[in-house]
Amino acid sequence: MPDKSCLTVPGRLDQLIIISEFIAQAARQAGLDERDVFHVQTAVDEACTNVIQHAYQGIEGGEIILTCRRTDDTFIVTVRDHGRPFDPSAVPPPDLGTDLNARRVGGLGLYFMRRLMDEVHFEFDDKTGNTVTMVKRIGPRPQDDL
Amino acid sequence: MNGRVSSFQPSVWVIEASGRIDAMHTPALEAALQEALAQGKYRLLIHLGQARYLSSNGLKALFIARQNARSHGGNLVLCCTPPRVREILEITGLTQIFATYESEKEASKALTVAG
Repeated sequence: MPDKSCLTVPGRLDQLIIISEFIAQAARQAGLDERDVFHVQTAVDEACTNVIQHAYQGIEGGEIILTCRRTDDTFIVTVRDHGRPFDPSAVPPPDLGTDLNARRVGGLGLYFMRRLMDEVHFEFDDKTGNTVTMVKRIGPRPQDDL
Repeated sequence: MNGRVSSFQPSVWVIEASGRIDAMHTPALEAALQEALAQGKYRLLIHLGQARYLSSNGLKALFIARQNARSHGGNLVLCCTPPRVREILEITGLTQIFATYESEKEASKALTVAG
């Protein structure tokens, strides 16, 4: 794959399919197997849904900026937005305990991201906005890509 | 997302959730679930045979509908879950909550016996 692939789309739910296809293509070109491609697609879908529904609060006009790059042993996706600062520590984890009636499903999206990727980092900066960086560890680069 | 009566048990209402059930398409699933519950259909079977993807938004909608159905003596179960969707359920621990069956026939029978 090229060193870096980028996509900028409007922060709207109808863009999720476009984002998903972009991520799948970048991940396949980077040499990920189909299971890992699906994991990255799902994690990015959840991250972008979070941006649209919470950072932009469903208000149109904002953008989502995606970047994919491969290193020797990782595939790294960053998702940037200029919406409301996102504080992951304010989101309680989903309650998946044994008491069926007490289970809460809020925070599932964040939980998906953390379970499906090897690393997930959140940053906020006044100039660049929110940045989520998600890392998937992968095998060595195929010989024909060297 | 239209509902229909189960081919195997007339008291079971089947909703075929197909394609990508992401945040864009979850409202259609929610509408189908709410319509069924409003009509007193509390034995709900979600047929996932044609589902390609199920996001946390979609799962949340199913979870809430399941709670509603159970509070009225019914239940919500899944059938024909594709491997990718099953994996998401397993990763999130939701296989302990949502009973899943291989076929519509098996799921319809289980809903009728349990409900």
